[in-house]
Amino acid sequence: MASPQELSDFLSSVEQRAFKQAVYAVRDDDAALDIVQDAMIKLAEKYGDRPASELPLVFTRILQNRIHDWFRRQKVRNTWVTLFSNMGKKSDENDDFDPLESLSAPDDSEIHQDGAFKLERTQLLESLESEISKLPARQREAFLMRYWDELSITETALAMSCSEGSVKTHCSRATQALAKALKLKGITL
Amino acid sequence: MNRNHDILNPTEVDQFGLTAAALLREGSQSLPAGIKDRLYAARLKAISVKKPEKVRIQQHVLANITGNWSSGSRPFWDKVGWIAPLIVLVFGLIGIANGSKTLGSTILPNWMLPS
Repeated sequence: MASPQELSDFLSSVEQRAFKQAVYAVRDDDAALDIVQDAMIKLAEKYGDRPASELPLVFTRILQNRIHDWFRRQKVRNTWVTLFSNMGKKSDENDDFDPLESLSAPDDSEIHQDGAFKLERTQLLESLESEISKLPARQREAFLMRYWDELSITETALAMSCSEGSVKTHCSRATQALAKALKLKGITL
Repeated sequence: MNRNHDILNPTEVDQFGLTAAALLREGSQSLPAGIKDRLYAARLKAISVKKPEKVRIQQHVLANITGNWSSGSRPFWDKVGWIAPLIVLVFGLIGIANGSKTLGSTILPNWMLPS
């Protein structure tokens, strides 16, 4: 059973990653923060008595479910807004929102790094994050779980409620798509 | 999927994924202070609502006839104790069945008795 300290340590280790993953999906910092907070509370309330070793997989599932819930709610909200709003008003105003605006420049702790190198890394990261945001949801989920969360194929399949073959396919397609998109920008990882 | 259009072979796919993940991990460490503060607050809130741990109630400790304190653990009776009421029930039913047959033979006419 995870102690409060273990739970705190676990949440501390995943909160930033979870936030970024939510941002890639919903492209809105505030919504992403709400999603991460909901996921953390759900984990603590419902699964706080689970062993610490089970928390990563459970949290990943909760986070993905929260993101899906957010999209469902948005869909319902958009339906009603479309019905009752002015017909002439464009609904794609938010499409111009850049989710990477929140990405800060490296802070003062990195002053020892070479400026050109920092700029290059920042631009590389921005390009990569931008392309990840453009991936289909399932491919993005599989890619992030496999490589960022470091879940095994079996664990990823469990978290995504799909077969291991599907995970491999999603991962492969996501990686190929990212590599192609970055190559077009002249970037090779 | 047409694999001829793939620009990475299976080995390179994993390598690319790991490199990209390392880059993303590095980037996630430089979130704005405002975001970090809100994540910290969310974490505290989550921990405050943590599901309480199950409290394990210890077995009562009783004194036996000799005055020695024991934990009340009686392995034999714990194992066979549940079967005693069942045995009593079975014998009771057999007794009732026999009794009703005897009673019936003295009071009821033969044609009412079960064959």
